[in-house]
Amino acid sequence: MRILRNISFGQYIPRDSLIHNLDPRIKILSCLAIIVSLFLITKFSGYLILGCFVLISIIISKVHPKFVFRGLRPLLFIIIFTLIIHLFMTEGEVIYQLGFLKITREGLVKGLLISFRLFILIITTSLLTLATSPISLTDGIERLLSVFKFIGIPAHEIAMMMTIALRFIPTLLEETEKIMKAQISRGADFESGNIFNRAKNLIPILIPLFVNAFRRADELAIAMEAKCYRGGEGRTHYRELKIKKTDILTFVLTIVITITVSVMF
Amino acid sequence: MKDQIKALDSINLEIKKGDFISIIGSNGSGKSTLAKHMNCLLLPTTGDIWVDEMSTKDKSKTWEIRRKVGMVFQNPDNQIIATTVEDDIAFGLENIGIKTELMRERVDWALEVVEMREYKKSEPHLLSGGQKQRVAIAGAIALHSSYLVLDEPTAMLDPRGRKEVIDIVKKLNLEENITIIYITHLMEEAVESNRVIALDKGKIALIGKPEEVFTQIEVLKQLRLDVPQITELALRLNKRGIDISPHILKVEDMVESLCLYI
Amino acid sequence: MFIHLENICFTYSLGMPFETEVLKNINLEIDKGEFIGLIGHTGCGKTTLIQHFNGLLTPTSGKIYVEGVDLNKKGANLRLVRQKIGLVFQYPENQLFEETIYQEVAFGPRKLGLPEGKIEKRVREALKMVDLDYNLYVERSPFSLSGGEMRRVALASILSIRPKMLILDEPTANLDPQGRDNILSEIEKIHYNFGMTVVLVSHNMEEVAETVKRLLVMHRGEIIIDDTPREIFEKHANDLVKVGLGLPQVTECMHKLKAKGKDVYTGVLTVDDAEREVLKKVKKPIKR
Repeated sequence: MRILRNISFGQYIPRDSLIHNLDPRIKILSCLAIIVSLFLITKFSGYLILGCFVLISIIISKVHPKFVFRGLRPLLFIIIFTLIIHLFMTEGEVIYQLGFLKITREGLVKGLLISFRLFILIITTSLLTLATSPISLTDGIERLLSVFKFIGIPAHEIAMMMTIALRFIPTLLEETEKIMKAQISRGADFESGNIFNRAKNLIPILIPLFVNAFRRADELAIAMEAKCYRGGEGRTHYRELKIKKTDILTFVLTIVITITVSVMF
Repeated sequence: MKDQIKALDSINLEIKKGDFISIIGSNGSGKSTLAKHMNCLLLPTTGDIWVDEMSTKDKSKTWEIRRKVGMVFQNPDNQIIATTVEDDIAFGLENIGIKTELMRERVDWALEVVEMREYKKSEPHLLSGGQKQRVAIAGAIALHSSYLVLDEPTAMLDPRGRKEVIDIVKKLNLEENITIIYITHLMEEAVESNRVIALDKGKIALIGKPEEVFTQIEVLKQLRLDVPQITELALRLNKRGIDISPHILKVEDMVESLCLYI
Repeated sequence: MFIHLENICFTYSLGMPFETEVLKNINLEIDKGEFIGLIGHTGCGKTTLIQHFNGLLTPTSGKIYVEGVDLNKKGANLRLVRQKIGLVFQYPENQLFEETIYQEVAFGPRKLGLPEGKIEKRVREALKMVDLDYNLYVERSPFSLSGGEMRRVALASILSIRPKMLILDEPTANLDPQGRDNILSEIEKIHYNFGMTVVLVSHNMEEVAETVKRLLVMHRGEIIIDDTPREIFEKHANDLVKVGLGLPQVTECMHKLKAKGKDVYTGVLTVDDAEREVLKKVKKPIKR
């Protein structure tokens, strides 16, 4: 039941670096560009170049690589699993045999390629969330999405929902812990039993959480109205997003690299 | 409509600019309902409410009224919507379309007034209850409201938090000349105001200065409200023949009076 | 001796950058049938302390014994401890989740494995202890009640497990004077009628002083005063003020009179006490 206390929400680690100071829209778009090119690349050298690009960005961001790799840990299982599937399930020239399990050359190549892809995908998105504050991210997403307002995408509403969710996650975590302790104190057991029992045992936590969440939402809506909230019309922004020279240069560099790599490799 | 409950009954009330009034009453007396009428969150079934000569029933004036009448609620968490203090204070300013440069000034000013400048970039979940309420107050006054309605702002706070809030509220009234409408059931807070209104089942039961209202001990007890210990003591001693004023609200006054007799 | 705490220390996030020492060397003995108040500012450690009593938290060092059983020994039966020690958290109405009040109050006994017949008896008994009419409330949803009623249902849901000790964390939080008086008198009745050991955590000096027989004052993780309310008001008033805990108005009045050289008893808890004391000491003739 160890819930993180006193640690700021999210992976964001504040630093004064080139990457941190970039406009969030540029960062999001660059990230997307890298991810798209990851799926277009077919050769190792392509991944190597992109990988170096991302690693250099990590160094520039002054965030210690250990934080980046920490993001890998929960997904390590998936990477290894994918690798194994490809190693043993691909048809082709057998290079190693263990009983009835065959490892093929094609399988090795494919497996490694896909693992690399996943690896770079994860460290790229990790870098994005490590070097961009949650507010910045939601601001960036809102501005980018508002381009699509004409086809009915509610950019402002989406951003507002994200902000409120981010704001309340630590509060809800604390509340969950309190409710768990209260229920344990009257005999609830969250540890023993099979998977069905454990799911049922979550009801004394989920229902109070839901009921409280609805009440919160209600009170929050009233408080927002009292502060003159009436939707996205006519709203100004406290935080300005300005595109600077560094943003343009970085974006151009990223696009050039990703396109070159996708085409050549 | 079946099951109609008269939450407010024939309330006639005039609040002047610069006033600091408290509204006291037990749960169900209608004090929260009354508060929500002051900024158009609720509209009266009959009768009118005027804020600076604008009627709350006039839909075109709703937002103007809400800008003038700021409101702070009971639950410190459920009023803060942004991920940092400064962004939350700016929320109201964003809503009314204030230009970005002016917003920064207002946010800094509001932070200064509620004495939370060091917490400008803090995340709300790391703040104490009293600090959160001060952020809520800052968010309301940033809109340059002339009136501030506080609906039991300290009900969920500890004594330290309560003191923080009531000190800031007094300061707002004295230094920024903001009219305060303070709803509470705590006597030690209501005594700080200059007029007290006691509600009972939607009606005004008592109205007057704190020393006039809090010495009506029998009525207060009937309204199921607390009586300051020292006031009750004064009344009892007075009944027993000791010539001290039954209108004592503060411990110092009681001590001075009793010194003559002991 | 019912509960015995020996040199309890507790540090949050031990070994991590934000580690905080919350409890420092707590030594405490609670006997069966006591009625104890625990008072202190937010952050003094009182909520952390009470979570040790039923094993929710394990001390970083030190020992806790409940009826002679060491809570931190391997294999300690914490479920049994939680049946003996009923812990009611602040705003307990936030833990309600069942469809009917019956189910809610039956939750605890059911988890203990009691048969349905016995469970019904427990539910009736518990609802009676909190002054809720069984027939009127049993089929209703807990969410259809007022705040004060929900709190009483939550209290009943702990009473139904028949604990030997009841710990209540700020039971009067956010209640109006009527609600507060109601719940305090119910707690007093439970203590006197059923002989239950009660620990009342609060930061309202006036309400605690009037109800409890023994008062523990905490400050920065330590128990700094442990005595009866009267003794504390008479002899430790300065310490209370130093740690930012106020005195009831009447007590403050007596101390200020004493400071002016008047010979008055300062261990007053209530207006009745103060009235009696003043009338005793009054010198000038009383006008009729």
